[in-house]
Amino acid sequence: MVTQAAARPSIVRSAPMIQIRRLTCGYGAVPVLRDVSLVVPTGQFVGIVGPSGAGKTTLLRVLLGLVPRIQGEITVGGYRVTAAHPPPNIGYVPQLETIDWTFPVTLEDMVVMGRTPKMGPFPWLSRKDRRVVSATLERLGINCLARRQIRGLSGGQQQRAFLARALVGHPSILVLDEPTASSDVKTRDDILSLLMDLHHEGVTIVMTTHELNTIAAQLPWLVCMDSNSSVIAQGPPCEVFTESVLSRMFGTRLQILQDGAVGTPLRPDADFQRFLTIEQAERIGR
Amino acid sequence: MQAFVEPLGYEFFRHALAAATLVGALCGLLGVYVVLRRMSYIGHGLSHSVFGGAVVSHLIGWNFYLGAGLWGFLSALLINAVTHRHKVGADASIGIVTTASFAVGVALISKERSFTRNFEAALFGNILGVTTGDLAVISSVTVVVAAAVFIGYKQLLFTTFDAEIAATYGVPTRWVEAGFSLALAATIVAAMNVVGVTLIAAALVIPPSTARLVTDHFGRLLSLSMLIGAGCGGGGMFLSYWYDLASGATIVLLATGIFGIVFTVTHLRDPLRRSLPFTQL
Ligand SMILES: Nc1ncnc2c1ncn2[C@@H]1O[C@H](COP(=O)(O)OP(=O)(O)OP(=O)(O)O)[C@@H](O)[C@H]1O
Ligand SMILES: [Mg+2]
Repeated sequence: MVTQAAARPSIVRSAPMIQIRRLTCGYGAVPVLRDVSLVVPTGQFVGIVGPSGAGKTTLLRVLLGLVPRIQGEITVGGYRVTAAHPPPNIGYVPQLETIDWTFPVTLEDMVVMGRTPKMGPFPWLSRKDRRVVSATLERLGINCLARRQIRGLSGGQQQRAFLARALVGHPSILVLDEPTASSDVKTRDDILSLLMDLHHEGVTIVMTTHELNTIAAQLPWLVCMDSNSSVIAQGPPCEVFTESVLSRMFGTRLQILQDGAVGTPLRPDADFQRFLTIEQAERIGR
Repeated sequence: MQAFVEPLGYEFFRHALAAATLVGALCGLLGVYVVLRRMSYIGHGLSHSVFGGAVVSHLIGWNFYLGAGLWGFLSALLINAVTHRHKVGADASIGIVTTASFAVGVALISKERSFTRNFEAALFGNILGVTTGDLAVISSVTVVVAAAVFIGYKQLLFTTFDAEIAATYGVPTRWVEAGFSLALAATIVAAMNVVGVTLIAAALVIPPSTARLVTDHFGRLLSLSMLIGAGCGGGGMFLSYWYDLASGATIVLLATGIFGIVFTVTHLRDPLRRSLPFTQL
């Protein structure tokens, strides 16, 4: 009895949260992703990197059941995902380009949307909802902007607002599409350390990013895609960030520079401290 | 003063006034969602479609509200399905479905000349046409739709803002959209006698656009749009009585006039805000 009970948590922890098996999918007749497989263990923090148009956004949308499936299977948290059945308890931060910024809602109204499934039948917030929303805004440092119309926010503020919307429902999986695009250095660092905190709290996170040095290199696990939408490498940054993988990913030669050659590490405690830059950096002087 | 009191002495006018005010408020309420979802064209098409349903249900001896309502709801579902499936051809498909339905109505009327008068009223609105029964239907539709918007406020707002993402947050967007279609069809049928088929789209679009000029706040937008809609409905009825004009046209012209004034005032006061209330109306 005792041993069984003790064993259970470890079984749950090691069970994959996300499983994509031989998936082919796309929006029209021509598939975007072909025969892609991916496993994300519960509690993992995964970064997806690759060139523009590689299908990173598509891969994230697959997890939400938003991309028409041609073949293969997706399970998230043990549930088979289809268009009619998006996975429960998932928080999604879309790429900002897809948002209608003229829509007449305040930042707070927009954040509250993320709590819709947890709220009662009335339009107003319960005391608990109010507490959660204001704590989340506080955590992201956008409390003072709560009454602003969303168009009147800067890019970084908009990003944090969408992150807040994803967090107010207390999701067990976070799916983030370039959550640090158009953020300044400080905001980017804040968002990353917030995500690291959530990761340590046990939230499974899948995120795309274009920032190889400052974001991707800090993450525990990376999935690299090339321009043919194939997954060409997976693993911790120190393993996948090799010159061969990088050049296959971006179709140009990339030089790996060691710690200190270009700048100082973003996070002093990060165990991976190599920095990357395109080959011009070599000419400037190494 | 006398000018206001005198028409109130007539029962038909009291009915018409109540109906126009309710319909104005109702259109103002749903219009906010119609405009934000960029569905103005659908509202326009749907009202024409409903006209076909009204003629057919008259011919086969069905109750007008039942027949026209059902026809409208089915058209709305069809339009929804088409919009989901083929993003590119949606406009054309909506045009085909709704104008064909309208044409059926016109063709049948031209064959049966006897009820031309009634359908002229359906096309342009008729101040004399509102019976106690009509008023009961309009009141019920208003109450039910308002209650539904109240209960589904959060789901409807999220779906309107971004249906795709709302679905991933567990909002049953398909049901919300179907429910909205039903409410829209019911509203159009209820509004037909007051505003007339050809002008319903204006009653749906102008009040929220006017309200949008003065507020960025969604809750305020809803109440202001309803207020403007109700005001234009009631006010339009008096104007229509005084000057002996078609009720629907008067309501719409009044609303347009108010929009013009608010637009001018807000732009004079705030010259930086040169954008239209809703982009791509
Ligand atoms: N809604 C859509 N309909 C049709 N094709 C699409 C759609 N969205 C994306 N695609 C196509 O799918 C491919 C992958 O796009 P995706 O947005 O996933 O790339 P990405 O890796 O996220 O790029 P970026 O880094 O620029 O955001 C592209 O070739 C794109 O043209
Ligand atoms: Mg993308």
